[in-house]
Amino acid sequence: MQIPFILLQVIIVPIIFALIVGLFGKRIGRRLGWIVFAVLLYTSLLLVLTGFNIFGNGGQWFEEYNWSATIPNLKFGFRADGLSLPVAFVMNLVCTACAVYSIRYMQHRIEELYGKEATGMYRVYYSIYLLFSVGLTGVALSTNLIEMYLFVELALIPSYIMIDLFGYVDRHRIAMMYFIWNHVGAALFLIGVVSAYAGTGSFEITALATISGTSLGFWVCLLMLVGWLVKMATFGFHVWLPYAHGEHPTSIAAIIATIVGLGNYVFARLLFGNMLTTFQTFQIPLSILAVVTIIYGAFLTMGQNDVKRLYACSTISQTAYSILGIASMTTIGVVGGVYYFISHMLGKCILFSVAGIMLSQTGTRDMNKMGGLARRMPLTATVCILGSMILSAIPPLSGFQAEWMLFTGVFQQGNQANALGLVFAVIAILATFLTVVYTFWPAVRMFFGQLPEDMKDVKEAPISMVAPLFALALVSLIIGVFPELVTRFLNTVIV
Amino acid sequence: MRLTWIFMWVAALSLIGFPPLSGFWSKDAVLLSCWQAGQYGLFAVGLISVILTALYVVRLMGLIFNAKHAEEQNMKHEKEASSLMLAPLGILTALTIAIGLGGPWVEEFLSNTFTSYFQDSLGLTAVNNALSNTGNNFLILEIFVAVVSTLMVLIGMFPAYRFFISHKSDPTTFLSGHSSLRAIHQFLWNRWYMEAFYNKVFLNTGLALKELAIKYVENPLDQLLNVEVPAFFAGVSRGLRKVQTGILSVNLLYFILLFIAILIALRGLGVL
Repeated sequence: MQIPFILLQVIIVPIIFALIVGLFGKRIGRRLGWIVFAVLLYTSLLLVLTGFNIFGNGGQWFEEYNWSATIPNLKFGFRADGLSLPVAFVMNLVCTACAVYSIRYMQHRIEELYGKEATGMYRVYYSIYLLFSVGLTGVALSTNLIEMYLFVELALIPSYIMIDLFGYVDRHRIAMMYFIWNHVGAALFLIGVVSAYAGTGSFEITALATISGTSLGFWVCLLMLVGWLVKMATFGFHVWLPYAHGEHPTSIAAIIATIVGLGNYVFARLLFGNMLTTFQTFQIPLSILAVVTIIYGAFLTMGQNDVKRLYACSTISQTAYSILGIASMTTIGVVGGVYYFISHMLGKCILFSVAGIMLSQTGTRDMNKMGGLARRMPLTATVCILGSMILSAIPPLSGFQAEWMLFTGVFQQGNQANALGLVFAVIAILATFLTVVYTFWPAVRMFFGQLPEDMKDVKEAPISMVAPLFALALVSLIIGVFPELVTRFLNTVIV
Repeated sequence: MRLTWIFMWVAALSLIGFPPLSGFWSKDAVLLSCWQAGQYGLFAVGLISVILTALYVVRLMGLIFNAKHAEEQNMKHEKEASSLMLAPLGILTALTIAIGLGGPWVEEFLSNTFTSYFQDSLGLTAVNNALSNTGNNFLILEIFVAVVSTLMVLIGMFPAYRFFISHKSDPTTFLSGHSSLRAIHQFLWNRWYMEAFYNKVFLNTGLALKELAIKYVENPLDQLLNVEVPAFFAGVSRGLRKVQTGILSVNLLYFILLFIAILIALRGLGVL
């Protein structure tokens, strides 16, 4: 079956619906979520179809449209190959699942903030939500750097508006903090992009290869690295993340966690894929930063009592695993790193959503006040354990497959190139014990033990909130049992 | 629960290694090989563990079937389990006895199987072929091991029987009489202090590190980057706003100052 402009549709259809929802959605109110779900399900299916097309011939799907024919000669292209397609698909899938989750969650949130009459807020939310998903998918599919930058901003600005309108506690200030930090990162990336243009005369991603190994290449690589490391909240640049991810509405917090991880895709695509010679000079500093972030992030996470903030902090440490894999600069390490990022997206979406469920069902975020809730909300407890298993890499869920590939890469690098790599590998493997602690300890604190008096009549979350999470856990299980579904894609690009 | 009681006693005696049940033969073989291989230390450890096994198994049986306060605890009216549950127990018990009675033959069969398996599949030849398994000396050794191990079984069973079945003496009073025994009891009761060790080394260190990370790294960093840097910019902005008075003469003054500055700069560059 041949669908015309298949990748363009993935981008354009949600944008059109964003306009429709924004302009005419006032009447429909909270049920807009189902429309958004349908739209995103459609784009997800388009991506699956593309996946079938390229899985068969191991090639890629490429579409290109003219943007500007004069100087600078700009194309607006979309490329679905083994690297971009799984990433784009899983991000789209997470957005689809969260759309269903949003329906009840945002009803709760909007009624709390703006009252029952404010049905207009739903169209604001869902319209922005669609733009957001376009931004994420667009980053993965784009073929030139300016296009990529645009999509990065398209993912950032909606999430800023979301915190400002629907966030928690000190939301206006935190929205601004989030925006500035991420914008600094994006700006550094943009400077890198423009400097690269000065050397290559083209914004195409593949053109980066021509400056690899030059001194200009070094600066471009450095700027892009630092820019994305800010966005990825590595140690030193991480102080915005616990706030931003803690105070987001959780239906979005799950997705902005994917923006954080997106840096891994960018590293693999731009730096590892096109300027490996230059990228290799950053290997040791990047590995050290990754290991420090893994350990520091783990202890930071353990210290939290607020369930949302806790899962926010765990993103810091989890993303650093992927960075470590990519910093090994071996094929299997980079494949593992990107795979781990995909796996982490699924797991973190589940856990953040669980945090949102806890908040909407119990009315508190403080884990010290919870306990024994497994009997009251067995489905939520189950899905929370599943999410924890993904993060702490327990088979048969996807985290395990991803993590051992990643560590194989790190060990391989240590064996072949420098013994320092082995030290990193051993420290990071030991740190995975901490992952188990910081994912399962909160689960124990929330769901087991003594049920407090005032939580006696807490109810199970509505099905529309729990079901999408089980769907994500199922996806994680499938790619955990059949890792080839992901690695066969990744291996065609990462060589 | 007569049948359950019988079946469990058979299983318990087999576990202890009471002749001629199946446990006796296997334990005997292990002890014998230890002696033959010259591992007298292991042989001694084996004997001690025989005592301990006898002790705790008899204690278990006593606690279940001969509880001291059975009447008080209202356990007099327990019914026998259903035959569906008893049947598998009966079959297993019968097998235990059967294997026990045919012990030497089973052992020989297994020995031959393993010898050929090790030789043919793994390429290992039996080490103790040099020690002949026949002859007078070997017979004496076999009897010696069997007698000693049975003796150990009895040594272990005797105090357990007094403490937990006949209730002739009380373990707590016995323990309180000896301070050295109390110390050993304390040590074992705390599981060799392994858990305490793990708690101290791993758990407490981890928890302490988490506090340190938050107090000395996270909070200062957070304060610096999220409070002080913005405060600096806010301060600069306030300062600049003060300069902007909106009074015409002041603005003209700035204008003149700027003009002079440009002139000086141009002079410095050599343009003028």
